[in-house]
Amino acid sequence: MKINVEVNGRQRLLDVQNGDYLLEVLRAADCLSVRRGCDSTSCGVCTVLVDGKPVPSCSYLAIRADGHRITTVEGIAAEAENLANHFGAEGADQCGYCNPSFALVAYALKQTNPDATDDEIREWLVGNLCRCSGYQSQLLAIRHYLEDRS
Amino acid sequence: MPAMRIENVFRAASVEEAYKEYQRDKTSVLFGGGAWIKLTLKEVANAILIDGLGLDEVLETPDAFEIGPMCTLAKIVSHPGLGILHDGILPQACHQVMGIAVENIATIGGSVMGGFAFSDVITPLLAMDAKLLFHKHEPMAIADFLAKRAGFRDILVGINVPKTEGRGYFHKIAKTRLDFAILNIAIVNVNGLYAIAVGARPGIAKLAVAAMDRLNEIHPVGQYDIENAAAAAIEELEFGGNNRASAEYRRSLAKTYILRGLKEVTFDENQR
Repeated sequence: MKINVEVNGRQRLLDVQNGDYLLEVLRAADCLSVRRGCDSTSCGVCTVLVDGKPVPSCSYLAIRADGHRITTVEGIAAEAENLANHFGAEGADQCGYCNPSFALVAYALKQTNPDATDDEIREWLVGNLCRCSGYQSQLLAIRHYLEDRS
Repeated sequence: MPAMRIENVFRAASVEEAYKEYQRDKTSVLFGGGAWIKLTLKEVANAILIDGLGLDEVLETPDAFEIGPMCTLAKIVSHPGLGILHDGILPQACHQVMGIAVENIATIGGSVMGGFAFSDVITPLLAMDAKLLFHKHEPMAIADFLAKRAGFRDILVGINVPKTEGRGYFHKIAKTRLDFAILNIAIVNVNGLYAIAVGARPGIAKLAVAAMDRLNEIHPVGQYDIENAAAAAIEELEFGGNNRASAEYRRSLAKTYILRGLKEVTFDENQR
């Protein structure tokens, strides 16, 4: 079947199987920033935004995305670059596998609550695992990103 | 993890249409949530979707909140009225289910109808005396539903949570923030009427009815009474062991946290 979705600002008609998850469908649609991790909603690496809200694409049935707006890192390139600079400055970037998910969560947080406290940032990052860092560097980078209104 | 195989998708245009299909095809599965379906089902002959039927809002009446089954946990977490009711134990519980992304796909209806033993959502609903509203059946206390849910084929259309004034307590014990609970406890005190619910024992959440009855006969309740009630609660509830915790450990945790919860909903801060 086909689903009609807006992916990164562009209307797309995507071919999906009934049991496909958004993760596979988006990767097949060349959104390769969307990555497979635990495949069971636990790690957050596959996070994308559906109508501006973070969701785990590994567990979101593609047929349910019909008519919705999907954002991946490819769709927020300038914001992601800004965040990447803060990640670099704080040494928050090591293997980089989880970076797209952190970028999307930080971006969604900035849209929702640009004045988030450190505790609120931590709350938003609960579902996003990073196996390289101790999270403090990401916390600082995201705080600076939120403060950066340029 | 291999993709789920779904032979057919039925997009219902109304609750009645979904209900008819659900009855017609007894192998069909109602997709009312999203978070755990993948972990429980691999092959589905007929998936009934009830997205877009307006079942995702929290309505407020003078006496109750009526939560749509497709309401995400995120919506409950940010709902101002539910944030006050019984000290906000329902949003507190919902907010402790994984992270923000899962909160955006997990629904309260999925949590209830799934009847998951690890559920953090069912426990406060039990303590808050929530009623389940079905398309065809009469409203049902959540405890009654849990007792007879095997083979139950109706569509949940709302969860009625009475707007009673009282204190509430919720506590989840888990090894990490992203893990399932080792135990969760919800306690509500409405004008001296107590409800004590304990979940993830690891069986599905249950009310400690005998302990509640004993406590509800006493006015005013003192320290000695709540100690007795906590002891009675762990006597009447069954605790089991699994790879997260032993039965003994759960029982010990339950006694401690029931006692703390009862103190919290009974006494002022300086009396505890």
